[in-house]
Amino acid sequence: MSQPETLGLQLARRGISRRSFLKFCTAMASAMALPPAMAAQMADALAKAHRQSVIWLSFQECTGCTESLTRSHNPSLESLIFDFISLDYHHTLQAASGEAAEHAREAAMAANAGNYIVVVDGSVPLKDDGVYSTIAGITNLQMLKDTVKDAAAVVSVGTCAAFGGIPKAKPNPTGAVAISEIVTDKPVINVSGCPPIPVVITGVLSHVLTFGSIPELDHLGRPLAFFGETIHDRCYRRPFYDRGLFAKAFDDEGARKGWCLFELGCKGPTTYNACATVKWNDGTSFPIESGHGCLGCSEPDFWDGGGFYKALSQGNWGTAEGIAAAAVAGAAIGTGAAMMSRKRQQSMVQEHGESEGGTLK
Amino acid sequence: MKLQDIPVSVQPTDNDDAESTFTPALLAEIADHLEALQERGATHLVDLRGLPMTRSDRSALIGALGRGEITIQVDALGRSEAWETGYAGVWWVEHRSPEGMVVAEHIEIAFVPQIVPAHPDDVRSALARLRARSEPGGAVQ
Repeated sequence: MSQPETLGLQLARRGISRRSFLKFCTAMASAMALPPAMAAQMADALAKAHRQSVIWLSFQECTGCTESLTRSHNPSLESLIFDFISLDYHHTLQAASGEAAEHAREAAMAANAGNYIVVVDGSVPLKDDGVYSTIAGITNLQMLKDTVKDAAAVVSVGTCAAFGGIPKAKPNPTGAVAISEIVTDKPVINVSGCPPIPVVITGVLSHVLTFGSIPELDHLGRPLAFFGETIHDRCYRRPFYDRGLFAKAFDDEGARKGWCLFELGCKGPTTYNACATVKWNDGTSFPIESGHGCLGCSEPDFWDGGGFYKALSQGNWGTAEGIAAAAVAGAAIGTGAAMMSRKRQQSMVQEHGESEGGTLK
Repeated sequence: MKLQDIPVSVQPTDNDDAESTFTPALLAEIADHLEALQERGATHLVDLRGLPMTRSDRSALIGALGRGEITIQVDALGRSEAWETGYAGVWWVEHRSPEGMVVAEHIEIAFVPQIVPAHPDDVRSALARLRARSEPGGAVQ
């Protein structure tokens, strides 16, 4: 439920100072490539905000997305997001079950009509009237439609919710579809990845809380701050690609020396995500640092891309022209990214106070 | 076989022979902002994570800025450290999470880094606690 008291007052009682708010916002602004000076403004907005009601629906999914958010950094700066939101329904995490759980969802919807955010992980089966996935006897399709009706915005967490993911992989026996195919009259933010990077989820929710708007999105509905560059653009092995030094097998000299994994099927050049900069497991590393190519898990239909170990240049993954264009653009982006990021920051500073994305209400 | 015995290593990719333009460019930018601080009191933050720095760029920058007289340590949701570089008004600010991971790193051009001064809301709450303490039978919150 939304509390009448501001977050600043609520958390001050628990000894969380305004310096902590500023630090949280500084980290979020840095992760979202927002102008760093905006952190102070965000911290003030956050302290004055009320807890945001969030209803989390889990459909055809493996719970990896919830694991990603709740267990990767614990306790951490990012887990502070749970102090900023009121997670009113999440059937994996909540203590209530059965009818009591569904009542909690309905009560939160009624109390926060028009203002709550629906987070969805998992895709929705449409075949045979959606009978392949139900909760409390309600099909996922029906529950989604009912819950989203009075929502301010929807966040599709994970590739299954964003693009259909593995349930939608050929031959798609349940007729699974992405959330954006069902919800067409509300803002839908796609936080793709299998699983998605926790800070992206936190960043999106922080953005909504502090600016009252959704962040700037790419053509697939993903926040540009995290999905603006490819894995390849920011890969630490990129200089080997540029010099034409490739591992040809997982145990050859090139692999031992950490050369580029492009020929071993790395999908980095066509995959937009922040793994190479944000990294995983408390910033330890990302898959390419462990010697394995990127699977492209944040892209639509990554499961049906023709093989994880098949080089992009061998086809089945977009068109040859597209890949050539991506590679050429990538060369420019590698050095141009910082400049673009600064240009974007400048335009945000000019526009802000209001919003740089679509407004929610 | 131990993990460290597995002969996988990534060769350094920095080309140390090449003259990097990163540090001179950033120093020039910092100088412009320092001038704005001096003339108008305008503060500025440069987000170091947003810049594509190589390892040698980073060490060149650290070397060029040096360390000055002050180091400030803040314990709020993990440790933060701010130290004045060899140039007064130019601070290196590093924020760490409770687990010690760097979550933000800035060059801040300011008389005092913004994480340091007490916020008026915190002062208000501190005053209320102090007053409550001095009241007869007042409990420490």
